[in-house]
Amino acid sequence: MAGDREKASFFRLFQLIVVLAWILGLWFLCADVGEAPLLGKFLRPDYWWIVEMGVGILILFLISLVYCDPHNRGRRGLGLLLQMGIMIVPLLYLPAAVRSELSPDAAKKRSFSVGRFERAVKNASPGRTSRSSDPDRKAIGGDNRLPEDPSLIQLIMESSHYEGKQVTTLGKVCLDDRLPKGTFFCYRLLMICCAADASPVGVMVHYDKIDSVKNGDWVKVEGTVGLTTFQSHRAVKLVAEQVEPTSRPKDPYVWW
Amino acid sequence: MSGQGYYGNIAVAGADGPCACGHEHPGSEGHSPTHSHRKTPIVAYVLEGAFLCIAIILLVLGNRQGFHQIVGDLAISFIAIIAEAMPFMLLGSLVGGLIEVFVPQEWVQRSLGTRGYGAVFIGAGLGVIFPVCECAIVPVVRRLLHKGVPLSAAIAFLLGGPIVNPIVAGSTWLAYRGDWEVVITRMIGGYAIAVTVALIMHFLFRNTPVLTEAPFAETAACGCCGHDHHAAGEPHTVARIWTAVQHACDDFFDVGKFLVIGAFVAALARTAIGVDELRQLFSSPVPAIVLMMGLAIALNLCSETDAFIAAGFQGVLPHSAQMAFMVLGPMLDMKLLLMYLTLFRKRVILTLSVLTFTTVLVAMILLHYGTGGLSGGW
Repeated sequence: MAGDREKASFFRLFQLIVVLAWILGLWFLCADVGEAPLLGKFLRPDYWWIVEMGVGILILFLISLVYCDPHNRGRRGLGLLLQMGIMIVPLLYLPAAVRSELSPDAAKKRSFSVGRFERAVKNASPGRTSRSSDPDRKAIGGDNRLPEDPSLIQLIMESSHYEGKQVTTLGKVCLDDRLPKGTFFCYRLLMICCAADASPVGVMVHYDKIDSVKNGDWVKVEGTVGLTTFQSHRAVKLVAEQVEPTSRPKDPYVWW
Repeated sequence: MSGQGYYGNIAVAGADGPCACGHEHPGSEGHSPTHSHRKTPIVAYVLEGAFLCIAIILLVLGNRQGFHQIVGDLAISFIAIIAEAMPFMLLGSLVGGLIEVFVPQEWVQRSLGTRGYGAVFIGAGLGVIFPVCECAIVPVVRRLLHKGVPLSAAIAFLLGGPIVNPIVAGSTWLAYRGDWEVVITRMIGGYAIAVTVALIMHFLFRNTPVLTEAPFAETAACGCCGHDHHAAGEPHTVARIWTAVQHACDDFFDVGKFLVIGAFVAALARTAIGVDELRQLFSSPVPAIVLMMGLAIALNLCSETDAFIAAGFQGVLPHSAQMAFMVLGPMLDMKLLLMYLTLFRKRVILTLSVLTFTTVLVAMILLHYGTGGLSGGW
């Protein structure tokens, strides 16, 4: 029986280390890094409570592991090592995930087509598309609903109102062979729940100096809005006069 | 009862073995004969070891130029899925632990164990009272099985619970912009398929061992040994709450590792599979339904969020294909398949998977051709 106790203690020590590591990992996700919570990179920011609930339950586990008597022997040997190793894997991937940003190739694989943009945007709630209420913001024709620097989603949703107008917008570059010559996708990722379901929404940008644009760069595009057809879907097109590199915005995603 | 135990009407192989829980037991008769102490099969070690090696090798490769981007994309999807799913699994573990300690086995057996087929119909609709997603449901079902819930009712809850619940109904309603027809079809379809599969499983495995030995063996899902905590007469509520937390902690480790493997595979699929290319290949209804069922298995989305993804296919794929995605996903995906390993034997999982897949496929073809599909779909 004493042997069983020792094995149980060993098992609990491993459990304790893993639970503690998970608490720290999830707590780190909820922490503010720079200007925004790190969680916003992986989940909708308003889902913070899900992760905090997880932290709360893990703290209960930690207390039970520290204060309660062991009630089983648990795994031993190789089984124990494998179990604990697997449970640690997400924490090992956390630094890589924090350092990285979803690449244009990942965006392409997530149904990168203008048809999907339209559908995604139709599903988007207008109240959540980051319309600015800044009174100093310039608006087209004095209409505050149509700022001169609309987000990509606003541009798509209000495309008929913007047609023929001069605007400035912000997005990420995706160069794609399927596009006409001299054209790139300017997109942002629309997150519904988490980064795994994020899919690109954006516009086609025609730019004479396309060679100066790099795949994956964040750019500010200034140009005239038009409508076109791409792969038998209606698409918004910007004829760019200027495309200049810009820094990554605080929130790279837009949310449904 | 040597080497053969029963959970309600569920047979479990290998029931005898020493107990490590330290509780007072009135004798072997007092033990719920539910677990064996067989060692974990070598093949499980090999698979778990292989996963661990692949995950670590990929992580190391991520520092090299050619792999940096792919591993970065994989890491983001992996952490996102884990951050969303793990808290729900933890919640499910906690609920399962509380069921284990506070719900008397006799009550469960009286309520569900004696109702025959009625238990199946109740089980498939239990999600209305216990709204849990598929990540949380596996630990809950483990505990319910342990409490003597019949296999058929447990399967009905396992399949129906993540669909027939108010949160999923709400998210579907939101995703489809208030389209009640889609919401009602999803709820009724999920319920009917859960009941159908559960009844067929009941007939197929009436007298056959179905539960894996592992959960109640060295990993000790009941922690101790399968005794009834009510019968054991534990002292007071606070002590029992901590016992429930200990059970939940065990479930976190037992089921959590499969969630980790499943999330990793899902993230890998998300990183490697191009949805557009697949979609172009499947433009007619039946292949589209099969495509969406395949996507549901590969993408491992939470039942509370998958409607938003399905809604993105409006106008591109028929409603029946979108419905197939929303009905099959919460019942069967790669993450769930791995988590089922903590519940059932492999043969049972295989049968359950084939049966669920086939039933959903037939139901969706019937929905498309038999009822003319949903209005607004094609």
